[in-house]
Amino acid sequence: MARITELLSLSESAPREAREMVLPSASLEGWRWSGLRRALPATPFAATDGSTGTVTAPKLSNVFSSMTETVLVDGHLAGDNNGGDVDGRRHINSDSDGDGNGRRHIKGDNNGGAVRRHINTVMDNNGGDVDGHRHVKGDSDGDGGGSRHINILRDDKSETFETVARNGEETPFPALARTLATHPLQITVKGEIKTPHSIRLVGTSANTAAHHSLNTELEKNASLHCVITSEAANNAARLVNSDCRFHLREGARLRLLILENEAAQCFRTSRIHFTLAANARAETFLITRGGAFQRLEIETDLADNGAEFHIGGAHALSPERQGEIALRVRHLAGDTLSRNRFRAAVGANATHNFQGRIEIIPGADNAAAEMESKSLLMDESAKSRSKPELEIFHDNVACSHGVAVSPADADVLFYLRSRGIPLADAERLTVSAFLRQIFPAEHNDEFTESAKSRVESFAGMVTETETVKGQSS
Amino acid sequence: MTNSPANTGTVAGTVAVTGKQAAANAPKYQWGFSTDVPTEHAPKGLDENIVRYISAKTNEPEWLLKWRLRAFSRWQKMREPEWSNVNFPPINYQDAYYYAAPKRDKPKSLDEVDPKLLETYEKLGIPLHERAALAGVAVDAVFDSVSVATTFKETLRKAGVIFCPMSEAVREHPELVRKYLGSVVPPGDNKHACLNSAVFTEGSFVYVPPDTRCPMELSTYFRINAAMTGQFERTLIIADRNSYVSYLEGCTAPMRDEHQLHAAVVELVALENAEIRYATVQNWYPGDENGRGGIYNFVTKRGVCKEPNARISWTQVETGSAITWKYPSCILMGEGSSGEFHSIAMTNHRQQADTGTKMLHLAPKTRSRIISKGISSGRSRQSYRGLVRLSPKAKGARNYTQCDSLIIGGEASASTVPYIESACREASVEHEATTSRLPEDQLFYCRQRGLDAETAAALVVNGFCREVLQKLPMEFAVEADRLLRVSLEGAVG
Amino acid sequence: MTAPLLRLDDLRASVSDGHGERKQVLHGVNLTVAAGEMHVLMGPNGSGKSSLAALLAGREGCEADGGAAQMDGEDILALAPEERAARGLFLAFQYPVEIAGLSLTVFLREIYNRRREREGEAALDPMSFMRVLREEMAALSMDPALTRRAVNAGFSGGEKKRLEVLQMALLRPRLALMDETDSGLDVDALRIVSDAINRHRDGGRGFLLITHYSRLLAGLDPAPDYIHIFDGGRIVRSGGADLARRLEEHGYGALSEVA
Repeated sequence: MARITELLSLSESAPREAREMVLPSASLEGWRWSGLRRALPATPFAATDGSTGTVTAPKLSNVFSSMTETVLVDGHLAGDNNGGDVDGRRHINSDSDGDGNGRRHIKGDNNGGAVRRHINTVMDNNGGDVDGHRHVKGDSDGDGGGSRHINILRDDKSETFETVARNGEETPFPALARTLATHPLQITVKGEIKTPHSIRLVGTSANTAAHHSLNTELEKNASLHCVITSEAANNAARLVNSDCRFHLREGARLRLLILENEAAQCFRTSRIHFTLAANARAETFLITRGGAFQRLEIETDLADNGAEFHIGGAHALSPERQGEIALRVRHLAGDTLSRNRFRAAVGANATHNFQGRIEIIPGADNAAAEMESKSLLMDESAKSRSKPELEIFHDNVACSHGVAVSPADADVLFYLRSRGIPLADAERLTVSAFLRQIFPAEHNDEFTESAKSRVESFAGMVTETETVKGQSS
Repeated sequence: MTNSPANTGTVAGTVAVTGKQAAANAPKYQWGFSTDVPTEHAPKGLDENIVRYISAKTNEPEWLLKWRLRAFSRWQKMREPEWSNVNFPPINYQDAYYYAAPKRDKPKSLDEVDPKLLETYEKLGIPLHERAALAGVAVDAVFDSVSVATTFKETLRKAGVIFCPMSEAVREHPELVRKYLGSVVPPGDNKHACLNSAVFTEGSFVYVPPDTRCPMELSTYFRINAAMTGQFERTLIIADRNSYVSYLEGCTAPMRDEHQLHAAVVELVALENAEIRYATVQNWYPGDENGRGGIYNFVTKRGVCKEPNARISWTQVETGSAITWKYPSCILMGEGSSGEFHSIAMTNHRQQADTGTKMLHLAPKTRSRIISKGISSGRSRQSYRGLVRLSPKAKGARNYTQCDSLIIGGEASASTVPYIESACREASVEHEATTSRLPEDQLFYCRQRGLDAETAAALVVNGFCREVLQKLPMEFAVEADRLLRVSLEGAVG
Repeated sequence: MTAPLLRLDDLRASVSDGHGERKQVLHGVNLTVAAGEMHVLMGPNGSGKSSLAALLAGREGCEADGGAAQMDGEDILALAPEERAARGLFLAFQYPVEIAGLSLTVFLREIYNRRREREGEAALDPMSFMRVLREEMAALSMDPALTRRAVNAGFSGGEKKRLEVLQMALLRPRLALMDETDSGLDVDALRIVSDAINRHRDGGRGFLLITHYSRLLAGLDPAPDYIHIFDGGRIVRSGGADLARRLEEHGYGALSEVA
């Protein structure tokens, strides 16, 4: 009887579903069609005044033997409100003293006597400077003769939101970030910097909006390891919007790790734009848990011969969360290479969207591109939508893409359980193994290992129900 | 017939030159001749009166006229689909004829058919006399807006299979037509389908009764002949319980410098455990190497597996049309039903093709398979666009998609735009795609064995398409292979 | 009197054929394996041997339709696969599964430490575990470089089978079901595997070996206690070690008919 009822309901709903379906599926087109508009709350988030709370979120720096750090709390450069130094100089030390409590220390003087090397981000305090410019210079730690200059540009907003938003090429969010960022960062890198630099975007206050803008220039043959962490200190609903640009000049090398550990109620929009000159190479790992809504736009221009772009993205979408990737890689010259590999494990009522596009312009001889997106649906209510596009205007190319959506492999789960591993743990291991496929097999350096460890910790959350606490006020 | 002043850039807007002149310009399209028969036209343009005129031509019942008029009024408010990867100037719908027919009473038998028409089909390789006809293939020949002949009707009647022009079906089998017409492609589905609903003329109607295996291949051959005329046929195939039918569709048109609109609708209905195999070899005039002339092929093809274990398979070989906009799709409603789409699309010169499929899994254990092979050469632009959607009810469903593109020459382009949406954990979807040029090692291997570059390329392309060519009935496979060779000519340096 | 390690009573089962139909594969299996005993189940392809192993280990899709399967007097059919494993049941898979992305070392340490914790021992830290692992791998002549790979990923047939035996060594099961562990092995690998099985015959552990050929048996010392011929979803004949030799001479057909 139940069977008949089911069949009846099927025959009733099927024609309707069929009618509703048109090509293309609107939900996967531009930002206008993404889930964002539906997900955004009616009341806008307000910017904070910069009076930040306490940062308690765990940080990554203890993973690396040494690391320099720039911290922004609720959109404000941490240290802004830590006045009291008389000489006008301030030192922010990275937390490399191993106290493990994950708290940031802002010290008034250089911790020069420590056994372990401390890298200082030295800031000229211009206090209430008139020109609105602030400069943070990271001095070289002598490990490779490289130097890094970090400038905090307060009022350098030559482009307005209106002009950029009208340019239909991009969504309004990056333009908003550049316009509204309280402390836009400018990083210039010369030579080889071996110590990773960490940029932490920490949120502490509910119902606030934080906009971030980062512009990074790697000069010829320069090299940088960079970690950008976006994390919530508590489970507060907020909007985090960032625009990051990486400009790699000839032969430059960038390794970038992006970690998103936002609260379940977070709205996160992010654009990362890479421009790669001849023989430049960027390698990026992106590890994220999604949010109430999360859209990550990645745009890459392989502008000259020999440029190489590698990205591995892992979505560990906990129940009720959403994660969306909009990837666009343009091969604008010959002998360019891009490898784009994404994995998503999707929990109960979570949604994963992937839109990727590889473009190869006429004359981009010998360009090679791979794009792969696989999703693992871990619950009956999980959803995945993918749209991997190839747009090829040249014949001598090798391009491929692949998409797969499936449940966790029953054979794998059984194999693990037959070895005594309980179902929940077997699922966690399966998810973790799946997400780790974003890492090339040969990678086991410190940088990659730190990324892998974050995958492990996120993997367990996909099948766990989050306890969403009420918004803190 | 009269020509309106030239209105460059609109469909059917430029002055039509005779087929012979155009043929001299581009000798490679050998189906580009036109047939000189007295032709009866509806007045040019499109309004309610034209819809009434078309309806009156076949003495349609009132319900169908109303259906057409509703579609027409809806069409006037609809916008053209704008998401596809094709470019063309706005269509002037008022500058074309919506009905054209050879001037003569409907022939009762082949003997009454104008010998010129028979000769035309003979030249196209489709002899209509049964004694000369392809063994085992029944043909419905459609010339502009009317069906001129249907072969082997008697054989089919004995098996209980209905195979006739749509106008006849409306008269003889109104209950079937009324039940299923528009049930798979509703008039409001898209602007082109809506236009078809208002002005369709002819097309084939097939009904295969329960527990019947259709004794022969059914085939419709569409020929656009008249200048400045659109073709709007409508095909409806119903396979009842436990039945099987294989249907082949072929199309050609004379070479004319104007663009002509072809907006057809094909609806397939497969009931429990029935199977429909639908194959198309589309060879509409593609226009010349500068993009002058050619058919705008805006076609809506969709099948529904309405009941458990029904099977629908689409196979298409596309070499023609200036613009192709076509997504033969399957709605998998019945548990355990399956849909297949096998496609070869070959574009050259200035052709544009945006084609693919939709597979909608709405029931448990449904299966779908998509194999798409695209070859673009010259300055052509080709896109595969496909949707695979698994609804939450599609437990145990599976889809496999393989989508390969070959680009020949530095000025062609290929895009792949798949949409994959799964809302069902217990289902699996797999999509793979590649884009590359002709593999040099294979070409070299062939040439080392003494083949010229063009033959080598044809062989390699044939190998690339093999998986799809194998799905075609023998007669069509040979034809398709020949078409691919012709389309490749001049593409390989 | 204590209950035997494994006791099967008129065990009947069916598997899903993947099209919604069920096919009966076990037609009443009776078998008792006491601690310390080694039983060998021999039978032609498709006789249901592997289904029995799958059923006992708890693979989804293979379901008991009647009868009972008990370990130490406890019904195991209602238990989850990991609960059966926790009670000391181990299945060496005929077709071990590849798990891309899951480090072999992490996986082995995980199952090893869980076993230790169940037995009241402290979990080993990664360094100590690596020492244990290297030792066990050396005993199986396994390439230490395999630890850097993912579970079974890119393993040859022989490497996969040896990895199954390695897991048996780490898990120290009370009852080992070995499903065609000898198939796909060359002579040297076969020797290594049978030596490993011999080492684990410590008097308390029960074995149920499933095989198509008798070639594994030659290397077993001491010889198996019982040979059972399995056909048509049940045991058609049982005997001592000499039954395998007669099977070699006469083939399955002759011996099945006698029953």
